[in-house]
Amino acid sequence: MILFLLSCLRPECTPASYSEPECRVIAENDLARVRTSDGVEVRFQDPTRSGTDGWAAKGVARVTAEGSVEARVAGLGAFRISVHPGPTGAGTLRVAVQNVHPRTPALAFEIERQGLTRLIEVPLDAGVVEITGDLPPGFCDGGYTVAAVGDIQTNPVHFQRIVDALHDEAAFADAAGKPLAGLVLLGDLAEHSTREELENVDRILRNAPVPTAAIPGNHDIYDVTDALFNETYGPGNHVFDVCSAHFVLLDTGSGGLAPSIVGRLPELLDSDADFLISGTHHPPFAAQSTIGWTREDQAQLLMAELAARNADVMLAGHAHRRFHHESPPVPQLVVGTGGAIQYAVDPDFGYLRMQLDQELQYCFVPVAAPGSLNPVKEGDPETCAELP
Amino acid sequence: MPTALLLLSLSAGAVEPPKDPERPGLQRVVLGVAGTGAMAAATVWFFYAGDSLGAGDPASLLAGAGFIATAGAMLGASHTVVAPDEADLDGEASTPVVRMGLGYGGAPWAREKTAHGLWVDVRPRVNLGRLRLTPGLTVRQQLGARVDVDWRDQPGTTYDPALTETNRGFDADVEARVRVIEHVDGIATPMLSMRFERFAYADGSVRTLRRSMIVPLAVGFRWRISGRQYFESIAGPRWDQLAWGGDQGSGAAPAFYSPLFLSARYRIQVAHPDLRGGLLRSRFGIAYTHSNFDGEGVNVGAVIGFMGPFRFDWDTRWTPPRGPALQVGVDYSFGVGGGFGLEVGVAPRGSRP
Repeated sequence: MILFLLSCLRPECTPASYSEPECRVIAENDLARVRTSDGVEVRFQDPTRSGTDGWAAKGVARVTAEGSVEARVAGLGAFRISVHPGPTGAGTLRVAVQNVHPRTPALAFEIERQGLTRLIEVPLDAGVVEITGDLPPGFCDGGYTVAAVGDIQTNPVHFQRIVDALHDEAAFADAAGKPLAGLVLLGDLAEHSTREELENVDRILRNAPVPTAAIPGNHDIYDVTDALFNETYGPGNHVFDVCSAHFVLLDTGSGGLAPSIVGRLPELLDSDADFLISGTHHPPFAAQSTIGWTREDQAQLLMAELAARNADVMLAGHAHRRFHHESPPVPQLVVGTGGAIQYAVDPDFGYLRMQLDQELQYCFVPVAAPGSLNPVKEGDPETCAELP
Repeated sequence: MPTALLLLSLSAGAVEPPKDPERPGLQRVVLGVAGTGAMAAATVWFFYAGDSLGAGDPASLLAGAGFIATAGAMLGASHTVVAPDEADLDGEASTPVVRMGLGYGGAPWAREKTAHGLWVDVRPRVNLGRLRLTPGLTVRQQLGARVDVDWRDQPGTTYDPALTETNRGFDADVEARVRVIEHVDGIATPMLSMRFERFAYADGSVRTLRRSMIVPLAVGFRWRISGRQYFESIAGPRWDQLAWGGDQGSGAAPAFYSPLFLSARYRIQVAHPDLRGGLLRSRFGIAYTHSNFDGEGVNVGAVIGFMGPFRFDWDTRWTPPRGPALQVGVDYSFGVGGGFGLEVGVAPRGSRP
């Protein structure tokens, strides 16, 4: 009771409750840098800015058992990492930069490439070192493709099939001259919010042909004592530019946004990019589906902010199906078709294909369950006419 | 016109209550079985259709209303232990004609500010034979600004405010209630709620937002289980509308359909010894509202975003030998955006729930 009455003297999230969105904002900021036992610091930086004094929640960095560093990039497209030597200022630090597009040109100090991971060995005798990466010049010239899906939950095995299908999608996209830039994963990677589930999906994603930008869903965040999603995938609130598209991914796992994220909406949404695309787990437009935000007031504010900027589409998951709404202030596409149970006789699994060039075109690529009697179903968004 | 309605309400008698059963055991069983059945049906609906087909609103409605009915049956049964006679009471607590209340905004974190809420509600009654009309208007004003801080740790950070938020609004409705059969009233209620919100963002820009919720017609019933308790539920389709202004430009969106609206409530009267020659009565209520319009709702585990708020309230009315009745109440809403509230009000003598 005394603590309750004195709470006005306490910083927020003390004690921490990582089922609260503001605590996850604090966690994702803290997890974007790490200091090794030698005092070397690795920081994620905003690639659209300069300077290395601070850091930005653009990824998650962690020290491995061997003493090297893993730095998982959270977004698609450009990234920037700074390495700050420790007091000794000698030797090298090995960093595994993960979740990097395979067509990203070789990074500074790159010594090896393993799938979506680049191993770099950074010298520590040259002051602060910046490592940058981006899609190669010309990648976007003829248009590009981004895939999206949400809701894996109880069926990571089927999600593995979707990841396999993305290899075919990447080849199809290359042939069409619209290369696959990445996957947007719209939350509910786990069913029970456990570390094992989240890390299992991360292992599957390491087999993907392209990097993944993920956000948490309601099934990913209800562990109170650990920010498990952020420890595995990095920030749940992050923005990035891919070619001509500005993606704004927001953590709505708790049914609303952290108040500080609401306060930063202009910073997050403002962009000169041709396309503005939001991604949330809970659909901002609930329709008559009981799948809305608890903070419906915040959902409506987000829709107004997106509409004021002529946003192109709101991506969401949460409902285990595909559907498309034109009636809200901004069109909404829901693709909760990543493997989670659908209680349908023949579930409709698959992912959304977005092709962006002069305009945004989208369709649904089915990835049916083995033995499905109707593997290519109709729906809205429409099933793609051309399948990989 | 409101003054005339108020005077008419204060002078008019209320709908004559039916002759109530004194030991409504069977009715309670029916209420409890119906409530439990509704929750079971909701569970089946939700897991076999709602979550996957995106049409789960009826499931949440059934779950919320079923919970209130089941809890009401249990509360009623418990109450008979101390008050086996459930005959009608004089001077029952009911919704006052004029009342005002305060909503506690919670304790702020360091460097932040919370804002409490003040509201005034006017709800005169007009009896037209078997029909009772109750127009209602609730005006809401947030007391001061709510301030939230950007807590991200960075070199040289001063933990500045990230968001300063104010809001006000109103709810208007007209309840039409008519006796359908003995012990059961039919209810039809159109509703309109508007909120006027202002957000000062971290970059200094300002957004104003006008949010409207329109329920053209919610219909339902009130079942007087006994002279001292009732169960009531109304539901209807809902549309919302948004308009925005501020530094980033202004605009408006056409009305769009939204989750179904439902309100379910159970209330039971409690008798006290007379006070200063006047009647002293209380009522205890539990309610569920299937709406997250004000950002309130109950989340449990991964069940996030599916339910609206549950609310408990306790009102005590004193009807003096002369003059109108005075009523005070406390309430508590569970979940996100919930909290304690206090209210005081006046009501005409003898007005019935």
